[in-house]
Amino acid sequence: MKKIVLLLCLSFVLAVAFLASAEKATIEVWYHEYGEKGCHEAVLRYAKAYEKAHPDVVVKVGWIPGDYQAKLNAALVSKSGIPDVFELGQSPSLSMVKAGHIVPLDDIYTPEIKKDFVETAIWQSTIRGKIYGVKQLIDAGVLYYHPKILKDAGVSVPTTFGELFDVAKKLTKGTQKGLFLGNGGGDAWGTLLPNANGQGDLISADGTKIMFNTRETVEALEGLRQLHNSGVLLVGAPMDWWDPSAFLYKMCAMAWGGLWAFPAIKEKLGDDFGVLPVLPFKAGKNPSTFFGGWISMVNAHSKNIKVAKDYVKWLWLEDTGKEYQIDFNTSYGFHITPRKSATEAAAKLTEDPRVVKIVDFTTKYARTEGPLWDDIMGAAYADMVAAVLKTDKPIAPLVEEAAKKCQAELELEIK
Amino acid sequence: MGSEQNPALVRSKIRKPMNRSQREASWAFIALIAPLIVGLMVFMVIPIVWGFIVSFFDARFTFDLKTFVGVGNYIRLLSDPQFIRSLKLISFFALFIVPTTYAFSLGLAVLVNSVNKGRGFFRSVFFIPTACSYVLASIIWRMSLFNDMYFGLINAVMRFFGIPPIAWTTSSPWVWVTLVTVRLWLQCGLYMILFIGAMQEIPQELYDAASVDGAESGWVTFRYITFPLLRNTSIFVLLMNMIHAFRAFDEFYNILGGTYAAMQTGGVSLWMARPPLVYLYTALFSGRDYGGGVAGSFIITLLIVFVALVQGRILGFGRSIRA
Repeated sequence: MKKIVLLLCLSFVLAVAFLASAEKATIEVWYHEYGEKGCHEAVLRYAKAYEKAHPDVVVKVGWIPGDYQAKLNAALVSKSGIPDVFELGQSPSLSMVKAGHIVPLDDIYTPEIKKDFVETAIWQSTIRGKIYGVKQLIDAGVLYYHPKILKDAGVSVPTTFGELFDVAKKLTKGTQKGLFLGNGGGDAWGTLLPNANGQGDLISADGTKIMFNTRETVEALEGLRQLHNSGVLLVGAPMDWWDPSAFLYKMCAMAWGGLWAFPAIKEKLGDDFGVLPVLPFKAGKNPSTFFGGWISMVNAHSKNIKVAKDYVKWLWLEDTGKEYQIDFNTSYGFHITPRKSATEAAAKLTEDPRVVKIVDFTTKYARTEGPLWDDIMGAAYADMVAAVLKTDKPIAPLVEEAAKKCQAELELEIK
Repeated sequence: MGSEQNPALVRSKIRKPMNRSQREASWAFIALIAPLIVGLMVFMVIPIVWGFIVSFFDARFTFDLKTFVGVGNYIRLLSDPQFIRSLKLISFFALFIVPTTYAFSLGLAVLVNSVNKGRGFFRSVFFIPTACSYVLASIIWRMSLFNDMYFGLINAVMRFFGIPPIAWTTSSPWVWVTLVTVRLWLQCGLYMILFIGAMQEIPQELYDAASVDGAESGWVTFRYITFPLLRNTSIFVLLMNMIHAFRAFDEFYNILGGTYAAMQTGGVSLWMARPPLVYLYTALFSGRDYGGGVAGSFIITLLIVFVALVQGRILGFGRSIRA
């Protein structure tokens, strides 16, 4: 008898709870595990603030460690509708749109807000005229250098790639190498150095032709190969280029890194370091760097698309969104806010002249592959760069072969 | 057996009805074996069949099988120069590593077996690496022993002798030393145990008879007694080794790449020595080309089956030892 009563009470409670929760719309928002302290708490705070402003919505935050991309793909392919909102570390792709994974977000943008964003941020999320994402933070690549080491060796700060090469040669002594471009020995600059030589977008503006089979690309890769074979590059460092330890422990005089490493370097070295972009390949060309970061998107299979879109709009696009952007970008890690109005208002992005320099060259010259560049093209390009660095096969045929492969893949993709 | 001696029973093919205890025994058998069969079906057979079906469709970014392409994925993969390159690479790798592992493990077995005291100790010492995971060993090899920088263990020893450091994981011929040694360290123990077991089956009388006939123990007895009687074990070891070599993934992925390298910079080091499974994983599954990825896996399977058949033919797998 007692057992039956207990069971009845339990089921009543569960039914009430179920009915109560069924009234609220629930959305799940996924982020990858950001390394910086305080990030997780911040996104939970934003979710709570939204729930307060919209009492009929429950926002759950997924903080995904490990291989975020794989887990996200599995969730999208399963069409379960979870997560409703997610972030992606690269441009949304045409394949994602064709497979029906994401929804256009044109209706949550206004023309003024769109203009407020850095142009590249809008460009990289626009597929066939519709915009599919909201850029939440911008990552950029930075070439850090030790000004003291340069001064002691009597060399001035380089302004072109050629000068960089000479400086690196002069600064390679003993256990210290001149330059660190990552353990790949230069592949991190595989698309950036051609861009610094005048190579424009990898795919034509109308999205039908592969554009990197040019003299500029071949020249730049030739320079990269020479750099790789010269012995001035640090390879085999315990951590790769995204970690500043090789730079901080003076294993090299200059190191390629990311904006995210700026706070750690500043804490250790104070004013004793300088920043550069990927230097122009020769005089008269523009510098370059990568336009990285994360983009917010809405799952097309979400059971609450309207709420999900509203959340994205509230978090990043409205006036309060500006504050959240500044907070998210600069209070924990260090990134550039995608909205120009936010950048002007952010103290951390305007105080240090080096940061101002980074923001300047990133908004002017930073590049990214764009929505039509998929992983198969990326793999073909990366294989080409690997062949350039690790063998001495002639470069022009390698570039042509990679371009042919990418062209075939592009045609398959846009069909 | 009874049926052989009673041809009438065999020819009549009448199934006798089972009595109660036999029926109970059958049910017990099915109940106990069912979990294994179900597990095998769900986790091995069904995925293989499903994968085979998917390989005939254009399945990119989705498992909706809408576009039938027949053998299109297979042809695309076989005409992909990078995939063919990886097949060539793994074939050469297998050609080298299989005899090497075999020689090492047989040598170890002979040595360990010939020791009088502490045999158990040596057996354990050489067998323990088998329990270590490939990933862990790869990381230790990459970050500690064969670290490229001057403070890696091997480089530090070399520095003591005045030799400049070698980039063990990022430069071409030396990376093979790293890869081969980690695989040998991890594998030899297991095969050594198999050989020791087989050697202990060999009756001592053969050796006694040989020494009476004047054969010195050592190379002669090894060549004429031990080695021939290890034939079945040898064939087994060579076959398992070959299959295992073609499926190489862990040490290549972890010493030369790892998640971030393969994803972000494209993995220049990984490009130097990229076996087919790593290529499928990074280029295809990563690019969400599931149809192509599975087609590639089946191509590798066919290659392994082909090599196994050839090897079996050459080594006489299945023939009984003439005593």
